[in-house]
Parts: sequence; structure tokens; C-alpha cells
Amino acid sequence: MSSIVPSIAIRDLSVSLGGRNVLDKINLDIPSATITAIIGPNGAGKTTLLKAILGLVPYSGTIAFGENGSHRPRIGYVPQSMEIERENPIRVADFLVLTSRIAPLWFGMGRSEIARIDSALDRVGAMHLASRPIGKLSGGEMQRVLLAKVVAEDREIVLLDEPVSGIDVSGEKVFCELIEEIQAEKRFTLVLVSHDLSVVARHARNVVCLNRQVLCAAEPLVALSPENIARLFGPSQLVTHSDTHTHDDHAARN
Amino acid sequence: MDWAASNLNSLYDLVCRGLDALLPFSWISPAFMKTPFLMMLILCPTAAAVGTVAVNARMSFFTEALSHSAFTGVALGIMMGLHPTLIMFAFGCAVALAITFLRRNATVSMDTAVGVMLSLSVALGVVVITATKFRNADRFLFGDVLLTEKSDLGMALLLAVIVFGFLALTYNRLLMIGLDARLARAWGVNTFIYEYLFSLLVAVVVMMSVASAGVLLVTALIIVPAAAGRSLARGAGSMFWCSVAVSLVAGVGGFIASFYLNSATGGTIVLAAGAIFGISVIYRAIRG
Repeated sequence: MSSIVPSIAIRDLSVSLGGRNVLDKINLDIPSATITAIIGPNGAGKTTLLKAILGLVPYSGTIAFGENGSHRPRIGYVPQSMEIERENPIRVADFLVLTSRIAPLWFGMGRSEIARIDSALDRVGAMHLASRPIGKLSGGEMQRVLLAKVVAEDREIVLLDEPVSGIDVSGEKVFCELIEEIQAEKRFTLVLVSHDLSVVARHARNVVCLNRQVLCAAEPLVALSPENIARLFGPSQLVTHSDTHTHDDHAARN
Repeated sequence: MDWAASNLNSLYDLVCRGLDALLPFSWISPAFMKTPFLMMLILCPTAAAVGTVAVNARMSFFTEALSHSAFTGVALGIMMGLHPTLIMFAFGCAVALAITFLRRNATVSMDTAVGVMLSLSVALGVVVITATKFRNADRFLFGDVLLTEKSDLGMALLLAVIVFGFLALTYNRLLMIGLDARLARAWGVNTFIYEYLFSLLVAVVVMMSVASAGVLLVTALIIVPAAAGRSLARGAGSMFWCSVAVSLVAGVGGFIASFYLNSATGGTIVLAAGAIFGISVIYRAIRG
């Protein structure tokens, strides 16, 4: 594992998409080796913030990594969902090495590589998925596989977009505990976007309330105060709002 | 150059003697059948290898647009009084880069970008052909592998080495980009370089295949074996081998069948690949 675990320093970050200001002059420090949650209403720019950190959207301002800002970290990204054709024959084990291995998969994988992949899949409880075609994975299984990629590749910063969006309610708790365990083990900087305030309260050490601008960045007890939540989601919202939301999402998908 | 040519000639003679010894059949015994047969043995797997990545990245329509631009390229070359083949390659590469640029930078989807470039290049071709009274279009539309000359083989071999060499270094990352380009970028893949280089590679393979298979069949040569290989495969590695194997079986089978049926060779090869694709789909449905 790398000895440098960088934090992210964001200064005057603005992102404009299709003429609309999605993020407006954001200043934010994301502490290293801990879990930071980003919460906010729909359209608040949460996913856009992750994409800006990844360099996937054009932005103005600066995003610096590490103590002196010059270190370019190895970032892992777990998106909300991926659209993969069902008939795609690429197996999960293949998928896990696509970005890290140069030698083409025509010649198969070596024993040590298979062992490394198996142990990463085992760590996230997805050993049984190793030879499954990725087109046949559910949303939750895909996120688990990407988490295995994080484990296998020792990433320094991990960005998770809605980590429970593809998982049923019973699997949600287990998945979040797993993420927390792995983060504690590997000590990477974890940034997660979540609708679910109960997940945030339970697992995050630092919470960022975002609605185009940073309204608050503090520890969960302070950031999730009723006043802050009302300011972020509107006065009619309670902390339980998010649980209903997750259930609604799940119902909508079925 | 002389040294390379004489070496290629002696290699060619050696391979021809090998073919006589290995395949003592009437369809391969005439000297004029050996060159096209060798051409097909080089071209089919090369096209299928590129096709494996192209199909994974949903680039079938992109390949189709490039094959149509070949016709315009040739017409432009004739109109400008320059070497038609050279202009065909240059024009094909320009169209490939333009589509990739549009797709990466404009707010249009891949099929719209391809559709626009396809229409424009065909329209330009029609205008140029009408102006130059270019009447010898059949060879480009339908192609004929039987017209392959010995000198074409050297070029095809060079292209095959480039294609397999490039894919040996980029195959895994190209598959990732094909699955989800943004995810690939997020995980540190330089999609800019890979996407532009691969589009150029497809353009060169398409242009190289035009003389053998014709504008109308090039896409089939690249896409159909890869589609069949994908249905038969159980993983990223076997997807590659299955596609190459299907292209060779279809290539050899179609070549022999066309000799006995007295049918167009390129068309028969593609029909053979199509038959294997049909079988692969049924196999897939049964396997589940």
C-alpha cells in the first residue's frame, strides 16, 4: 500500500453544464484517510463534484491532491450504475484487470493474478461472481465488483456515487459496513455521495452539505442538525426523509 | 526495398510450395488461386481481431460509414489526378478522425455523428463521381479477392503485423473503453489516445479490405465474425480467439464453396460467416 494518502483541496471550483451553473465557487477540504459523505437534494451537483475530482467535466478553479498539491493520486470510482449489454461475454475476473494489465487477455491469466483477483472478490463477498459475464450482474453486484477492483488495485482515493442505489434494503446495511471495514483496513480517502442520511450518520466521519454551494462541512452530529437539514432539503424534510427515498427508489426499480 | 522484395518473393514461393504439399486439391492448385487464398488468410483474422473490439464498443455503424467513404476517397483521387488508393486511405482516416472528434466533443451521440458523416461523405462521392464521369465503380462496390496481386500481399502482411501488435498492447483497455468510456477514464485510462488511434486502425483495415471485399461487404468481414465469436465466447480472451477462428473457418469455407459454386468469393465468405453467426445465436439461446 502507498505511504502517501492525500487529501483533496478544492478552491473556487465552478462547473457549468449546458449553460447552467451546477457548482458555484466551491471551497472544500476533504480530509485524508477517512470517510466523507456528500449530501444534498437532487440536482445539487453531488455527482458533478465527483466528476470534477475525476477530471470528467470541465471546470474552473483548482483541485489539488496531497500535502503540496502536486501528487496525482490513484483514484477509484464506483458510479451509480453502468449500462452494459446483457449478452456481453466479458467475465468479472477479466473486467477486474482490464485497466491494470497490459498483456492482452488472449493468453489467459497467470496463477498469481487469479489468486489476487480471487482474494479481492472474496474480500467483498463476491467470490461466486468471478466467472459470471458482467452483462448478467445486477446494479448492486456491479458495485461490489468495482469495490473488489478498489481492493485489488490499492487506490488512494475512492469515490462512491450512491453506494446503496442498486441494492435491496437488507443488503444495504451489509454493503455499507463492508465499505467501512475496507476503508479502515486500507486507509484510503473515501468520498461517498448518498441520499440516505441514516447511512451517512452511521458511517461518515465528515459530512458536506451541498446545494450548488457548500452550506456546511463538519462532523455528522453538527452537519446533520435539524436546522442544517431544513436549510438543505427545505423546511418540510425530516431526517427520516432519506429512508423513504431509498425505499421509493427500490420500489420504482421493481 | 529490393532486399525486402526479394525476401518476400522467396517467402511467397516457399508458402506456395507448402500449400501444394498440404492442400493437394483442384481449387488451390492453379497459381492464380494461391495469392487470393493467402490474402484471405491474412485479411480475415485481421479484420475479425479489429471487429472484436469494434463490436464491444458498438462501432458497427462507424465501420459501415468508413467503408462508404472509401468510394468517395477513390473518386476524389481520380478527380485530383492523384494516386486513388493513397487518397482513399487519407480520406478514410480523415472521416474516422472527424467522427471520433464529433463524438468526443460535440453534444451529439455516436450514431448521429456517424450518420451525419456517412451522409456527407456519400453525398460528396456522388457529386465527385458525377463530375468526373467515373464509371469503373463496380470493383470498389463489390471488390474481388480473386484480383489480388502478389504485391498486395506484402501490404496486407504489414497491416496484419501492425494490427495484432497494436491490439496486443491495447486490447484490455480498449475493451474497458468500449464498456464505458467514462468509467475507463475515471480509472486512469487515457481514452483520448486510445480512441483516436483505434479509429485510425479501423479506417486502415477497412480501406485495406475494400479491394478484396468491396465497399458493401467490408463491414460484414469485420463485424459478422466478431458478432459470432462474441456469442460463442465465455470471456474476454475467448471472445478474441472465437472471432478469429470464425473468420478463418468462414474464409476458407467460403473460398472453397465459391470455387465449386462459381459464386462471388467475398460474398460467399460473408454468407458463410453469417451462417456461423446464425448457429452461434441458436447455441447462445440454448446455453442461456
